[in-house]
Amino acid sequence: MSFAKLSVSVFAVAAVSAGVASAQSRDTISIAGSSTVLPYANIVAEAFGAETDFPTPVVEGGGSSTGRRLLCEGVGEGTIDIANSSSLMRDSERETCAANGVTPIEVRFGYDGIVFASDINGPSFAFTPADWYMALAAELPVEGEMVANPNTSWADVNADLPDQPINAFIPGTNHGTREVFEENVILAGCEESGAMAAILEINGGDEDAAEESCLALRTDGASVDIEGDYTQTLANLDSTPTGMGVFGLSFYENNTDRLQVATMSGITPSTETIASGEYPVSRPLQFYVKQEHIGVIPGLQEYVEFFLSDEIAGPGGPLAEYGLVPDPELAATQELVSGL
Amino acid sequence: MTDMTAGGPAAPKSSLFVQSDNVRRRRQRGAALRYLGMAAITLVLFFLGVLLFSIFSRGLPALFQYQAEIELYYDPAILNADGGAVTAEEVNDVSLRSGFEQGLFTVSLRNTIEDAGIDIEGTVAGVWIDRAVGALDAAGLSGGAEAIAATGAPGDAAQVFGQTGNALRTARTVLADEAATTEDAVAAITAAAEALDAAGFARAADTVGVVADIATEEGLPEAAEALAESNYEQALFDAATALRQPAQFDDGELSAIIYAANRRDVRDRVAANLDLVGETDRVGVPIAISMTRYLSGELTGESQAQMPPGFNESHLALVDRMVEAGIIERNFRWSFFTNVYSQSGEVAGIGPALMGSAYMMLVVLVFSLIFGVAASIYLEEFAPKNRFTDFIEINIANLAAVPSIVFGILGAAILFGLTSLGFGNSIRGTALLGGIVLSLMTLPTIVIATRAALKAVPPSIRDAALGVGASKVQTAFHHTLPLAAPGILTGTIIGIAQALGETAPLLLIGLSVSTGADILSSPFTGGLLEQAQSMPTVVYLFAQNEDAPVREGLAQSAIIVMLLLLFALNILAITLRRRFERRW
Repeated sequence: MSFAKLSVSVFAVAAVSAGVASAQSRDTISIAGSSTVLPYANIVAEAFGAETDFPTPVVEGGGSSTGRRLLCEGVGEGTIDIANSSSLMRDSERETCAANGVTPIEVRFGYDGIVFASDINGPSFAFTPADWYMALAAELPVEGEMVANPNTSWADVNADLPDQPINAFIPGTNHGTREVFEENVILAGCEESGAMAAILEINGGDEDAAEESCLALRTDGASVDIEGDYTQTLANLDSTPTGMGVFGLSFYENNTDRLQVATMSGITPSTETIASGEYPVSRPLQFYVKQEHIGVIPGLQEYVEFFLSDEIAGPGGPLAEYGLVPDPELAATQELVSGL
Repeated sequence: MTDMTAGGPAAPKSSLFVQSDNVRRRRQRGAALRYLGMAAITLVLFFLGVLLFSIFSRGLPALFQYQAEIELYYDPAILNADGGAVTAEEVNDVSLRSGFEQGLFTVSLRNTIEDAGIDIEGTVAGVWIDRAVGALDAAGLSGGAEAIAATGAPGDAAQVFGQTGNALRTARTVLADEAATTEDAVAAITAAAEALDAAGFARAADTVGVVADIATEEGLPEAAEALAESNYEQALFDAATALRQPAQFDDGELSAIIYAANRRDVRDRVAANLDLVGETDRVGVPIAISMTRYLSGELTGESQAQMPPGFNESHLALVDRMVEAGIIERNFRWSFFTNVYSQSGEVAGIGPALMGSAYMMLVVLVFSLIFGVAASIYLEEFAPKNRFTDFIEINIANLAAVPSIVFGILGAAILFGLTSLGFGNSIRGTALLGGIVLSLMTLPTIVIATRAALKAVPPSIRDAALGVGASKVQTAFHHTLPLAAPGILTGTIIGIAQALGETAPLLLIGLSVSTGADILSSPFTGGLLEQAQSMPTVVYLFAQNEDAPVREGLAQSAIIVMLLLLFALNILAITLRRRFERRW
């Protein structure tokens, strides 16, 4: 019977401790969202916890759209304070936010370069957006009609590229990276290669349909959507050494022993070439702060200012060291958040 | 018995000493089954072996950490940049962001290395000079070392080589230019030869000088070919690039070797004891995690594919010297068990995760044991046998087969319900909620095990108890339950072991946080209602880290800890069963 007594007493202790704690209100900042922003948010949160007297903020992943959805759920301690996001908020989400009484403030803190990298032991690549379009489009315009993409090797696409089968591992549609990839690589390539004009000629000038046709990617296995994060893309490259993966700059920089990076339009990606805009494929990284929680959740205002300070998000700071491309207009953003 | 039936009436005329076809076939089938069984077990053992090998071979080394033992100098110049006496307020005012720790640790690291008799600049320069000389030698430019020594600093040599390379390039462009006259070409070639001679490559200067003769005698295309045969230009540029590197090796490059961020403890120590200012203290600082792959021999540093990300040859040379001088040591990583998860693999740990998992197991034990045993006793001892109880029974069996992610969604739904009721804000991501959700998952397992244990108690015990006048409740609690206890315990422990490794439901109810789970700070006050982490979710975080040593080392270390816990729980279950099991 001592067994039952023990269980009961343990239960009682648990109940008491639960009662004590539930009296407290939330004093930690709650953050969720993008897995690309997650490492940066972790670095800042850890430093914030160490630097200030506020408790370390609680950071959770989950993805950009999940983070924004949680942010827009409403106002109150049960909802998160900050949503990390690698893509911009959509109008529909803003409407949801407004309907729930949430005012999200967009804070851009830097840029993320998107790089194309392959196995370090393979040949090196020099791409243009047109190469990617020609390699991945579902249908290409040939002599006045759309035909299924016949290219199987990178050399088919561009004779200057190595003769290696097209095996692209691209971010899945759930990724913020996907949008940038479509916008700055596929669509740009579609226009650059002259395919856009050809498609417009075929369909009689319907621009929306032409854009849609540009963005339709092949589904015959040459291009694989990766729904997970970059570690999964890397694992895929390990098993398919002839593959070509899409990564974030910071991920590449932390795995230079496995990956070699391809140039895009002759520019090698680096924090410098991305900050100067020479390298064409990058995207802003931002977080959305819930205005209603500022002044309510202790430390929220301080966290935002800490995140954007020159010593953290500026050049030479820990975020830049990790691979963030510092925002040249950081000062303006600092101004924006100082008076929240 | 089977032998008799097979050998008897089926083949009456056969001899006992000669095997009939029937018997042979039967034996063959038996043997085949045995071999198949053995093969199956071998295969399972093989996969288990591969799994354990891959986990232990990566996880065990990661449990050791390379540390630099440095003389931390509490530099007054950094603690108080304005000069004058250092006060506690000033120390508290120095911002982490202003690079205070970085400065303090970098200065101390530099001092420690230099005190050990290692010339930092010299070591770094040596690496690149070797590289430059190698590049020159490969192109036939002998005497590179002397040439570099003659110019003084490597940076100066880089400039000279760069100019020489430029002179050669000019000569090449002139030779390739169809409009150029022979005089232009000869002038450019002579200039290049003179530059080579001035840089200290007399022999190469002669070789290039001959090109001038070819230009006058045979024509420019032949001269261009002759010049192209020597690979001097590229070698000179390569050497110049290498020789420019030593100047790039600044404090930032030096401190990249160690991890010294977020060291508020240092500042707090100084603020608490101002006598430390100007003193030194011996402290161990973790070596940057990607560098540990070089130290452990995983990467050799010989090519880009073997270079730890973020470092180059100069770092490796310096680290080699530090190892020789005994500054870098390999220690067991105790901090792994107490530290909180961090983005930086150098200081990441599983402390709160272990604590969180322990809390959750406690909640699971309490909830599922109480409810599980109560339900089982009712169903087994008191409930009437009718369609309704049959229905419940079937459902409990079904519940045991429900995938765990479904319980996570259920937990999220409960959470949502609680939030709309007004409380539930503080329960998201806590060990209490995690425990409750895991309890729901464990409950069917425990109910099934408990009912089996109660069924195994012979009816004679119950009959005897009832016979001497005990009530039904007395029979159940005084006789049946104690006798079934070992079986119940075993079932419970196995259920808990299962719950310990469960990840999917926890991801949905906010337990997969990467920071802020500081459950260790107050383990006994309100720990159940604080933001928690759990072992499986931390393994998940580790496995997603961008740094290979975290992804492929620490993740496995955490798995080892989890496996050991599971192993311990299973051993406990077996021991309890052996010790208390009763046979009737």
